[in-house]
Amino acid sequence: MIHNRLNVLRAERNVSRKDLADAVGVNFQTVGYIERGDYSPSLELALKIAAYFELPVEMVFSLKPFEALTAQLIKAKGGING
Amino acid sequence: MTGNPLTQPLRVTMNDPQFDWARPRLMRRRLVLIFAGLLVATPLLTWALDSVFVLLGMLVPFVIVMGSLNASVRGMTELRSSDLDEREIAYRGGAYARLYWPGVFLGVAAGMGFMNPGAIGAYLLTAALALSVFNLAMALPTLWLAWSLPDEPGA
Repeated sequence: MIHNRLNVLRAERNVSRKDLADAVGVNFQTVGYIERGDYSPSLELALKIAAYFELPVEMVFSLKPFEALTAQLIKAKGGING
Repeated sequence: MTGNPLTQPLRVTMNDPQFDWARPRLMRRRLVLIFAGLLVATPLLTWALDSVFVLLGMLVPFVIVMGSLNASVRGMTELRSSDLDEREIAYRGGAYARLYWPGVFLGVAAGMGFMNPGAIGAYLLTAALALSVFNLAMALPTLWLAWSLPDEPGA
């Protein structure tokens, strides 16, 4: 299974599934299936999605689950009281 | 995008919001069960009423239910590859690969039924059975997708 951050990225940039789907040339359902982990995109589609968000592909897709944003923030601040 | 299914391109019809009622998984599964009911009812009714008009009349609900099933999976088994995206092509390919041999077996069985009228006692009964088997063979990938696909995400 390929994990992804599509949900977070879309919410952050206020992009609908349909907007993203139209930009990368798939149906909006396909974007939803990818987000839910029901479908693993081809390399071509993964690269197109990463390019749309102007991010390296490994920041959008990963073989391992992404760390939660709160955990990353805590780590970046150097601990819970940091 | 709602329009007349008889005049608009098939790709548009298959994605038409007027068929959204058929797209939830529960409704797709109900359509599959209705289709299965028609497969059983066709030979039974034809045999019980012994009329070719029953056999021909049963084609009407078959066409309606099959059309609804096709729309419920957005024409994944009907449309050209150029009208589908990579996920739909992958799902369709998976269904065809999985159901290749069952489809061949059912197709041959239906062909044998059509070529040997009267093989199972009565001509009409054989024809009705062969028609049901043929319809099942033709619909198998669509039935598989309609039954197994998860609910669609929203836009």
